[in-house]
Amino acid sequence: MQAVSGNQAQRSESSRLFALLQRISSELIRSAQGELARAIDGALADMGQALSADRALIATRDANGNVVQYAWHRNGTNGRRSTSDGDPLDLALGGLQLEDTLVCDNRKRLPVTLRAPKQLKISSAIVVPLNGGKTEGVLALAAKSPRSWRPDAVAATERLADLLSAGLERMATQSSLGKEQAKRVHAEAETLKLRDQLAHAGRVSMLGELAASLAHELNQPLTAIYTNAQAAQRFLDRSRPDLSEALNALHDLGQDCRRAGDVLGRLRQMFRRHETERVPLGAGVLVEHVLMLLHEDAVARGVEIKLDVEPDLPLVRGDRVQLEQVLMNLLVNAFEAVAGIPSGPKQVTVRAYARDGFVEVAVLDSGKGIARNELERIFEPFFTRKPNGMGMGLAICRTIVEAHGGRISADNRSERGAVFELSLPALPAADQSEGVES
Amino acid sequence: MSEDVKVCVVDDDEGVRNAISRLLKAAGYRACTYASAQALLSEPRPADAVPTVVLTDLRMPGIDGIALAEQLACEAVPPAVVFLSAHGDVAATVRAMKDGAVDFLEKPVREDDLFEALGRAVARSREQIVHLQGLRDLREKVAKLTPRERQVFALVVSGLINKEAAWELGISEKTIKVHRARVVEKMGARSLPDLVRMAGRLAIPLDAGIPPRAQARAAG
Repeated sequence: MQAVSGNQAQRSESSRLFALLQRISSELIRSAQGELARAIDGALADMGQALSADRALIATRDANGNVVQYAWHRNGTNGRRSTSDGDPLDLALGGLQLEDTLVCDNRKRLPVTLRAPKQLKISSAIVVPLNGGKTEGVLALAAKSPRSWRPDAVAATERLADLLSAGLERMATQSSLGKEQAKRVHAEAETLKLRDQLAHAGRVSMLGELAASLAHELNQPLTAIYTNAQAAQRFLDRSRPDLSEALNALHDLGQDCRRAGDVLGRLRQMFRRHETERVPLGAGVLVEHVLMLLHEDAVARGVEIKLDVEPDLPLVRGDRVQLEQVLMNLLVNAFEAVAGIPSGPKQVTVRAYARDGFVEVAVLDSGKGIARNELERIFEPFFTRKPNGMGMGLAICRTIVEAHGGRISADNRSERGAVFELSLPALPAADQSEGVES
Repeated sequence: MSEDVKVCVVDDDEGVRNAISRLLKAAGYRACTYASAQALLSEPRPADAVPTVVLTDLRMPGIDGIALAEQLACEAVPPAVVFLSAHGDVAATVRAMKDGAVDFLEKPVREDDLFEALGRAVARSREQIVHLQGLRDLREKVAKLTPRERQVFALVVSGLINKEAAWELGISEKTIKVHRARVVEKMGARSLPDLVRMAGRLAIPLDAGIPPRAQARAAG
C-alpha cells in the first residue's frame, strides 16, 4: 500500500511540475520584449520554489562576450547582474563547460568550481548546459543540503533550460533588431489595438442596425393601425354611421396588429435563440471583460474608472454576450455623461454586490445627471438624449435584463451624476459549484 | 367635398396603402392606390384636369418617392406632391423640400396633419390648373387674331400710343383704333393694363410686333 501511495505522490509531483513548465512556457511565449527579463526571473523563482532549491541561476554570454545572468536566491536577491558584480556562483559557472547534465547529490560530487568557493554553501545541484552544450552557459539549481534529485526534477530542469535559452535567444535577437523591425513590432501592436477598436465598433453598430430595422419594420404596421383606427372613427362618427366600412377598417386593423406582433415575435426569438447558451457567470468577470474592451474609450475620454467588486459574489445565469452588451451600453453612456462635463472629476464607478438573492451591478457617473421628466422615459424605445441617438440602447438593455429575470433602473445620485442599477437573480447555492465561464 | 379632388396614394406596403385610402374616403376624398411609382406613371392621364395630389412614400423599391416627384413635375399638368415617410429620413426630407414638395409628413400621421397638408396641396394643384387653363384660353384667343391685329397688340402693350403705332405700321391712326378695339374685344380684356397682363402671361416679347424701322430707331 505504501509503495502505491508513494507512486501516487510522485505522480502528482510530476504533474505539478509539468503544469508549472506549461505555465512558464506560455508566459515566456506571450511576454513582449520588455517583459522577457521579468518572465525569466519569475520562471527561476517558481522552479526554485517547486524543487525546494536554494538558488536558481542561468548564465550565458551575449553577442559582445559579456556574461549575462539571471539569479534567484531563496533569501531574496533576484535579478539580472553582470559579471563585474562578482557573484561567486557566476564565477564558478564561468569556468564550467558541460556537454551533459550534471546531477550532484552531495558536496563531493560537485565540480571543483562549485565546491571550492566556501561562501556558496552549496552541497547539491543540477547543472544543465544550454542548448545541449552548443551554447556557452548553464542553468543551475542548487541546494545547501545534500539531496538525491529525483529524475522528474532533473527532467524538469532540463526542460526549463530549453525554455529559458529560447527566451534568452529571443531577447538577444530582438535587442539587435534594427529600427525597421522595431517599427514593424510597433505596427503590429497598432494593428492589435485597431482590431480591438473594430470589434467594439462592430458590436455597437450591430445594435444600431438592429434598432433601425426594428424601427422601420414596426412603423409600417403601426401606421396602418393608427390610420385604420382614425378611419373607423370617421365612418362611425356620422349622422348615419357607415358600419360596413367601419368593420372593414377594424378587420384590417386586427391584421396589422398581428403583423406588428410578428415583428416583435421575431425579435423575441432572436433573444430566445441564445437561451441554451445561458451559463453560470461571475458578475465581476463580466465587468472586468467589458472594462477591458472599453479601456481605450475610457483613456481617450479621460475617464477615471473605479471598480468595486464584492468578494465571493454568487454566480448568475445568463448569456455572456448579451449581458456584456448591457454593461457596455451602460458604461459607454456613463463615459459620455462624464466626458461632457466642463470641470470636476470624470469618474465612473462600477460596483458589484449581492443583496437579497440578487447580484447588483451599479454604474455610477459624475456627470450632469438625468432630468426628472426624462428619468421616467429613459428606457422607452426611441427616447434619446443624444443628438444622433436612436433611442434603442437602453430599451434593448431592459429587454435583455428582463429576459434574464432581472431588473434595470436609473436614478440620480445624491451627489453629482446618475446611477444605473442592474440586478440579476443569483443562482441558488446548490448551483454555485457549476463550471464558470470566463 | 363638393369639388372633385383626386388623391393618388403610392406605397409599397399594402396595409398602409389601404388604410390611408380608407381614411381619405372616410373624409370624402376620391382616393386611388398604387403599389409602386411605376404603376402611377403608367396610368393614362384624364383629359379633364381635376385637382390632384400624389401622396407618396419616400423609400420604395424601383422608382423612389423623390424620382417620382421629379417625373411628375415634367407632366403637362403637374399634380401636387406630398411625401409620407418613416421617421428619420432627414437627408431625403431636405431634398424633397428643395424639389418643391408641398409637404412632408411622418408616419404614422395624425389625421388633422394629413388633411391640413392635403388641403394645402389641393389648393396648390387647383391654382396650377387655373393658371394652365387660363394660359390655354389666352393662346386660343391669340390664335383668332389676324396678323395685323397681332402686330397692333404687340405695339400697344409695349407702351406706344396710337399715333406712334400708326406711324410704325405705316397706317392711319383711325385704322389703328379699329384694330385695337378688335384686339381688346377678341381677347376679352377689360382695360389696357389687363391686356398688358395677358401679354405678360403669354410671354409675348415687347418688340414682337415692331417692324425693323422702329427697331433701328430704338437702337439709334
